[in-house]
Amino acid sequence: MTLIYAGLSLGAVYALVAVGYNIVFIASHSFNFAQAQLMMVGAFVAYLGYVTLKLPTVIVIIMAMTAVMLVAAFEERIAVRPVADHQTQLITTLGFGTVLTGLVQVIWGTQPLQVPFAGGDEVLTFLGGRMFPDELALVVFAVALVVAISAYTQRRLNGLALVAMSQDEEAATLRGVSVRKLTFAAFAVTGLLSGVMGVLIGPKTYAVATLGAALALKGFVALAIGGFGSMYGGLIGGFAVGLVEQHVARYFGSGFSNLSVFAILLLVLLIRPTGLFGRVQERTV
Amino acid sequence: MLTVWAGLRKLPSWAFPVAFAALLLAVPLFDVGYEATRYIELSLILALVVSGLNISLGYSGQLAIGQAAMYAAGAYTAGMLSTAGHTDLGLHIVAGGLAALVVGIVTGIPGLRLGSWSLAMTSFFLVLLVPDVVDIFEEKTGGHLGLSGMLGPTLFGYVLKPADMYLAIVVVAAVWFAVFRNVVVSRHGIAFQVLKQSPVLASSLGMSVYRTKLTGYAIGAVPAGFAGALLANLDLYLSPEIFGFHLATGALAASILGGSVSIYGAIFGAGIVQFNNDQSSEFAQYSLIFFGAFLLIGGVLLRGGVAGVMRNAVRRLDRAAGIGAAVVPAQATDSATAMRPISGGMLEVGKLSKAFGGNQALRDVSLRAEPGKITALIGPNGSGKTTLLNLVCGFYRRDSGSITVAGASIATASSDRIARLGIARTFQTPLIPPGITVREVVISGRYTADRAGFLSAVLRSPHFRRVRERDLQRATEILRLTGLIHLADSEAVALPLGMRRMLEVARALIREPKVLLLDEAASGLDENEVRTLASVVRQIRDAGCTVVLVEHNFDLVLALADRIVVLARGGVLAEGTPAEIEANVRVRDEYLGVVEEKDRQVSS
Amino acid sequence: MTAPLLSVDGLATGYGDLRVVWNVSFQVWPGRITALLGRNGSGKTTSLRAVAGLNPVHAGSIDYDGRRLDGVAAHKRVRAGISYVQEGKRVFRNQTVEENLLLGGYSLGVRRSTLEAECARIYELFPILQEKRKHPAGSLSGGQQQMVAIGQALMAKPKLLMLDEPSGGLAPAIVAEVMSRIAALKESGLAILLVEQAVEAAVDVADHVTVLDVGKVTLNLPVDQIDDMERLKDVCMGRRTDAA
Repeated sequence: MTLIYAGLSLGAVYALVAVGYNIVFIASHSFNFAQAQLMMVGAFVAYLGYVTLKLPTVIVIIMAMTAVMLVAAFEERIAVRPVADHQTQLITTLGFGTVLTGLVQVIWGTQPLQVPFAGGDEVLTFLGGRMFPDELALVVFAVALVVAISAYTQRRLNGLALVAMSQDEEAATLRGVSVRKLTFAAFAVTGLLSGVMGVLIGPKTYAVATLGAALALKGFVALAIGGFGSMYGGLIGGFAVGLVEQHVARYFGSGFSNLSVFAILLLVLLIRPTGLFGRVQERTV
Repeated sequence: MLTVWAGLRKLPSWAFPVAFAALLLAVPLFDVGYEATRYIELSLILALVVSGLNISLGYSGQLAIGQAAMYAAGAYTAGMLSTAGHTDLGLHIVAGGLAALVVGIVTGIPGLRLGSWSLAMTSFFLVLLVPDVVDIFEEKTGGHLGLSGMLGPTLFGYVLKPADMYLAIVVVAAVWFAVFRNVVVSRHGIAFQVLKQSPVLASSLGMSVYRTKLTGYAIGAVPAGFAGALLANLDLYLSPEIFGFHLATGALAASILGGSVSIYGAIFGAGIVQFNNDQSSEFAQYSLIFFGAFLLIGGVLLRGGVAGVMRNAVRRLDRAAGIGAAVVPAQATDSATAMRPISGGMLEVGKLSKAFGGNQALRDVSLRAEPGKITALIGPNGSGKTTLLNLVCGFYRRDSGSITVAGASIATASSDRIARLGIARTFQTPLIPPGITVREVVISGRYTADRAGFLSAVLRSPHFRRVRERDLQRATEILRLTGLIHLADSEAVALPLGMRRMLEVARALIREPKVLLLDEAASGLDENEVRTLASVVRQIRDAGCTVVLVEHNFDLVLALADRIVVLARGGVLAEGTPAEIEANVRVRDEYLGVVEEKDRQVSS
Repeated sequence: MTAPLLSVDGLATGYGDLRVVWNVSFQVWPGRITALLGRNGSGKTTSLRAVAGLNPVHAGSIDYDGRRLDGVAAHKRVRAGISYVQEGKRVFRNQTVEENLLLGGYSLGVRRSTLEAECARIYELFPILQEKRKHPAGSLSGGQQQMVAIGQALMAKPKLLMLDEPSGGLAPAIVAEVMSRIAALKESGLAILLVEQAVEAAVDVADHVTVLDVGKVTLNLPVDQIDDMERLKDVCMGRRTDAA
């Protein structure tokens, strides 16, 4: 059970990355390579708030949300909006993410920094397995976030517009939707959420500059399993990656955990390129 | 000043890189010291890695950014050979290149099938795996502690000193860049750019999309393997840390900064990035910020990288010095050049049906287009013209029915094979790759009709030269015929629409196709352009080709076609000579969506 | 006759450097239907797209409700009261009928509950949509999807409704039904611009006819001055230029 809990909480981290990818993907069909780095910045801001400035949790969360939202909004303006095609966006967002990693290294160095968790660190025992409070919080947060976003896209007009835009941008414009504004908003909201995510993942992953690359790739695998644009798919994909990774590490050695995830990625891409919950795209000439 | 420039421009274009290589070879004579030599060595090694990225990313348009992993494959192969007692540098380089090739192909196959992000991610994931794989084979690779105990390199039994190693690196780099140049400045380079622009275009020119992609990706892996072998022998120590994300992003930044679609931009980009790496540790911690900024600036501002800026500068200086580009007035088609006879083939479609979901796009359509005749296909929107065209070209699979060209069935062939069997087409929106000249666009039409392999391109073999000769000669003929000869060396994308349409006809024509499909070739053209097009199409017909014209311009169809087939709601409504079709009331009513009598009674 | 709500004068437009429309002028009046006719590729849809702000204006002018539309973003034109129903029943296929209608009212900037009440107006017009309100729009028949598309456009409370081939791909009986609904809409003072290939169906409901060919106007007449349908059809096919 403990192993399953560990897998689920790690998977929740990946699922959160996938959620970030998905929001931007739904809004603009582009892929934000810097998503994981945004969360990394969130984790460092949490460290700054908790450890360096010794601020209360609420302030830390607000601080992380604001900071990362500004970073994400800035990213949209300089790395996404001026670039027309999605292929080049991949390079510019990778560039933006690299700059973030570099800045974080300059400011905080390369050593992992421990981010405390507001809910304490007493081990919880549940159904015969053990789990830290921050791990539980991660799983709960990931599930709640996905449920909330799904509800938003069905209930709120802007949510409806977002989904409409992902189906047919031009038709959405003709209903009065400002595609540019909504894309910008999607980035800003992603930043806001990434701030919270950073505060939550920090205790588990530590705040470390190399966090970005590893999370970016595992998050992508979660997305590939679940299917681009599918929120629940990303969640399940994330949990699947986390569980596989933990089990392989436990039974075959940690050297094989990345390899196993890579193998899953190749398998999914070969067998079901649209993911478990993605729609099959018809070929158009 | 400008006369100096004009003098320089008279030299052949390869003279400058050769001079640069000679300069690098001469560097040790000037006793520049250890640091400068090492900087050059590392820059050249990085340049090899970057040149691989330029092939796969820049020229073939595949977002493969995991060159660092192939670099590692080459390095560890050399390292393990050395610790096992095989120290020959030549062997190391060959083995390193092969190892990188294998890694590239095995991991490229799934990613290439999907392209774009999937390839970017699978290839980037490889970089993450390097330390794990190294750890798993710890006994051979030294794990995360690094691989030491390598023996000094030898070449045919001769022990290489550090100074020899320098020469070896310069020579390998020079040879590779010559190879790289020869591939890129050949029909293969153009083929890559065609594929990058549009897979649909590539397959309609007869290229196998997947094979061409894989070739580009595989060739891009090889130099990274060479670089790895050189690095291993230079340092005689390897650690998985060398091959991490820092290197991967650095190489990508160098490629974007130098210009991905360039040959020597790789050397420049690598030089800058290596300079960055070599700075004191205080400065080096900013390197990631610089790499990221390079990627951002390269992606947003410097479209073609530094090489692009240089190209523009050269163009501007050329103009100032009055080189080339003498303005020849536009001329009509050169009727003095007779068109070579083309052996056309009958296109026959029998009882063809195709449904998309519940929508029956075509139902039992039969028609034939004869050699030496222009057959026009008309019909209102949604009548099935485009579906029929895509079925003939192999982009859709038929549900039932037959399609034959000159008696051979093509109903189940792939689109590239159909193209090779002699069906050529133009597109509603002209598909012209950016960055290549009008002449090169026309030559790309012959890529599969007259083959010359990669190896013969690299070696510039007699066979390659003969094919090249034929390419140029035929292109000149066709450009004369289509009235584009005065634009032969202009950049093709920059031409106005009318000329791009004509260029597509020229590209289709150079293959002497059995069947030529013109998809709304006249749309968007003014009256003069339509006249020119009509006269060229008539010449093509008179040469014996089977011409199929899909067209909205009714006047043009009436004037040009020998036979007209009218499609409506997925079926053939009428067929006949232009006079018959013009007189047919049903055709007009169908075109205008007039409600039939009995239907109208029901509705009113 | 009252002043036109939309006045297009000497319009030239296209896609990138592909110019499809060379010189097109037409007007639309409140409470009247202008039919824009012509064969495939004559520039009807492209002209509509330019009015909607989707294609750039190369030359000429578009005046709407007393002001020039140059430089006004497409989504702002919707807020100004221009509703455009594109051809091919472009509804949001994965979303339900009701969600589609709600999105139609997006430009009004009001609360969802207000819009939900507005939907009743559309259901009155197209009762079948109320039955299907929880179904994904993509699962509806062609005619029903066309109703969703029109209903969506009406949700924005437009002053100008542009309809691009509402009869396209529909069975003849349904064409008549859609056309009679369109004719009823103008009673409320709505200005309607109707693009059609189905000449007779369009002329039946239109007050004014403008015919395009190869991006130019070949005929521009009030409908009561047309007495010979056969000649009009010939004009639409580009076979002659005089109709009256």
